Amino acid sequence: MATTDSPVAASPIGRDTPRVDGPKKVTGLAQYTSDFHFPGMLYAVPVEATIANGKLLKLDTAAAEKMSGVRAVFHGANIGKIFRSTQAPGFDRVCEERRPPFEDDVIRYYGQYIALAVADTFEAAKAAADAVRATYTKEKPNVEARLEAGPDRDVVLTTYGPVPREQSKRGDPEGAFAGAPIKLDETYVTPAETHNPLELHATTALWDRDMLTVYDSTQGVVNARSVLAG
Amino acid sequence: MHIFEFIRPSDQAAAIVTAAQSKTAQQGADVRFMGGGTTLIDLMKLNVETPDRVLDINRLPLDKIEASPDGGLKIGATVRNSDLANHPRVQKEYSVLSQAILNGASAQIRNMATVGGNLLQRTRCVYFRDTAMPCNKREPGSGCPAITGHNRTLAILGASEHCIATNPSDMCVAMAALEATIHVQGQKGPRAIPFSDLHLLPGNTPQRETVLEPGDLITHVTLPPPVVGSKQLYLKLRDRASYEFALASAAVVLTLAAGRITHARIALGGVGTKPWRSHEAEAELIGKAAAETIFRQAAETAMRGAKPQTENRFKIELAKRCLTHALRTAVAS
Amino acid sequence: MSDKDFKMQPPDPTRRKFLLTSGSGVAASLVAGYIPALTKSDAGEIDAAPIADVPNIEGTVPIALRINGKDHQLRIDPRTTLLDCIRETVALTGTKKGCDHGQCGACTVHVNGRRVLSCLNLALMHDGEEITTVEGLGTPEAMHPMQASFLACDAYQCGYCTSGQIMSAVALLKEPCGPDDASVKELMSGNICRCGAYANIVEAIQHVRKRLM
Repeated sequence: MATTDSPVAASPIGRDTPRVDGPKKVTGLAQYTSDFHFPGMLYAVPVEATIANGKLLKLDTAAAEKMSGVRAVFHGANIGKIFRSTQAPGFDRVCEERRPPFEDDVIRYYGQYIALAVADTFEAAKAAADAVRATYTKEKPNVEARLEAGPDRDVVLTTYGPVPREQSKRGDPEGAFAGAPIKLDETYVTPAETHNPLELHATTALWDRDMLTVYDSTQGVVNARSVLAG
Repeated sequence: MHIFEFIRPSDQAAAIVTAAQSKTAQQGADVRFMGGGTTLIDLMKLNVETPDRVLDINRLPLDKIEASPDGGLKIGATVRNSDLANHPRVQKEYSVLSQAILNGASAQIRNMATVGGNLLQRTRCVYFRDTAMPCNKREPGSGCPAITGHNRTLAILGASEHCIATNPSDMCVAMAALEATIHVQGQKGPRAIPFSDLHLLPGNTPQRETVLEPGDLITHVTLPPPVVGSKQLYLKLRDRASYEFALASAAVVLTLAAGRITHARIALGGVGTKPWRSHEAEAELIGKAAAETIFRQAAETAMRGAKPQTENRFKIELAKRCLTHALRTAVAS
Repeated sequence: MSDKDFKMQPPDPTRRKFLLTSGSGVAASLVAGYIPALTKSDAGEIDAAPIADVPNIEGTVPIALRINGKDHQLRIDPRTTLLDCIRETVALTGTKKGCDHGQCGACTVHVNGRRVLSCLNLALMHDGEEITTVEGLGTPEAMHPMQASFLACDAYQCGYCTSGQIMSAVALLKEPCGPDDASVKELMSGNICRCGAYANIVEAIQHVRKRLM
């Protein structure tokens, strides 16, 4: 039997093993994105669109900018150039938000960021964000529950990888149904479900000369870095 | 959050003098009392409440539960909900109140919330809580989008064409059934408000929720002497087993003698724009032999005149079954 | 993109004040390097980060809080919740912000021994009072029995709700609660776990209760 001196003594296979991050998590020492603090750190709170579809006509940030502790209110007209990241080969069908913030005046969804209030404290930033006034033209949002067919109804291409490949192909469902000994035709609906971890969305960014370190909660660390660096 | 001055008044008189300077005690007040903060801070974060001055009354001597000279109970306004629910006299003699409180909110919130604050708890209507939406309660005349919008949890009793917001409190339903009295100290001195008179129907002034005027400080609540031998039950029906507001709830206090109902007090929650005491249901019960048909009849009567919203017709039958079940269970206990 | 590795400066144990410069305009670059918010000695002691002094924000007021047995003299915006005071002003980040509206329980702390939601309290309400956060219950080297039980029962996944769960569970030990799992679930209903670690959380709590009973 292996002794405690042996390097293979502590194999976790087949035994209860507390997770290595467990002690930190149960004592409040594990650091999540918004737990990082840096000297002189500022707080930024987004201003979010309160319509689901339409155009942003006017943004009034004057009152917000004057509030105590507010450093800046960023929006399309003053944030400067932010470039779109290039698309890696084979990824052109991946649905993701590639538009830089405040790129245009189109509102595409409820909650879309239209401005960013930056201040010395969270309270000041939040109050400034709440003081920004937006005027919109509203259009009817598309809340159609049914899925639309793609351009080629019968072939599904894989969306990942360097070259589009056929992943599946539609057969002859009408014919199969017509010839089936037992027929059931029902429609089942499931509600929309969104993945909502308890941790708040937050990002902490730190510049050191030309080096940017970003703390974020994401599965796509490489993706995030590519988009930011681009 | 709107910037405010935080003031801790040295005594009750100072609190009242400062609060009396508010232009209203209703929606939009510029001076607010703060108890536990469970409603006020929530609404201040949403910019629904924007007081310029916040008066912290937690350190005023209003936190005792004592016997009243008439054999009832006197409950200070800053008594925490959990302390009230766990008090031996409340559990034994006013158990519907204990049950109602323990069915409400979460343990943490019950530790924070005060009795006075719970009496003044605000609606959970999503349009009221969203300043990007019109709302006749926040901005009289701007409209009620709930009537044609999301109204599943909203009121089917006591609503008007201007407002259909539900009162969400559980404690209030029990206090209505126990015929509590609210004691207020105001600019003009003390007064006692029978429970049913505290909350107002929305009518065409949904921004007015209570009869309180600027400067009015709830100092305590009194409960009449306990109904001897009473059977008391609070039944709450909701989408989750815990930590969720009522779709329908019922508080019942009954006494029986030889199988006949000799005393009945009925109040409903989750269905009204104010805590809903039902004298009509009580009249159906008193003097009658306790039986399933009588319980159901009382429930039908209680819900007579209920006007369903577009998304909550189910509440009518749900409330009837809730009351019927509560009566049956209380009688059998 | 540079291929040089970003080197973190080693933790600086000296206390340092946040200096907030006045004036409006676009935010300047932040300070190079980083000083961790908490310095942790080998013995597991935690020194809170420097006091956040906000001299340029109008209407800041003084407040005294005793957190985990240590006195803090602070100046804060009156709007600061107890949660943000703990997390941002004092930089004790074990207590988490999950919803900021009293609906998830991640922010649960003890005030004068009772569990409350720190996001629904103004810090000023607790001027002069005793606050206990998860860091005050124990350290990896010296855990509170509830922390140890959560560890042994694997009562977490992402760990974000865990501080609040543990603070609630410890308070529950002193509250009237029936012996069965259903009673524990009812009294813990104010703490939401999006990962669904509920079964193990209840088990961890019951283990501690049975040892005490």
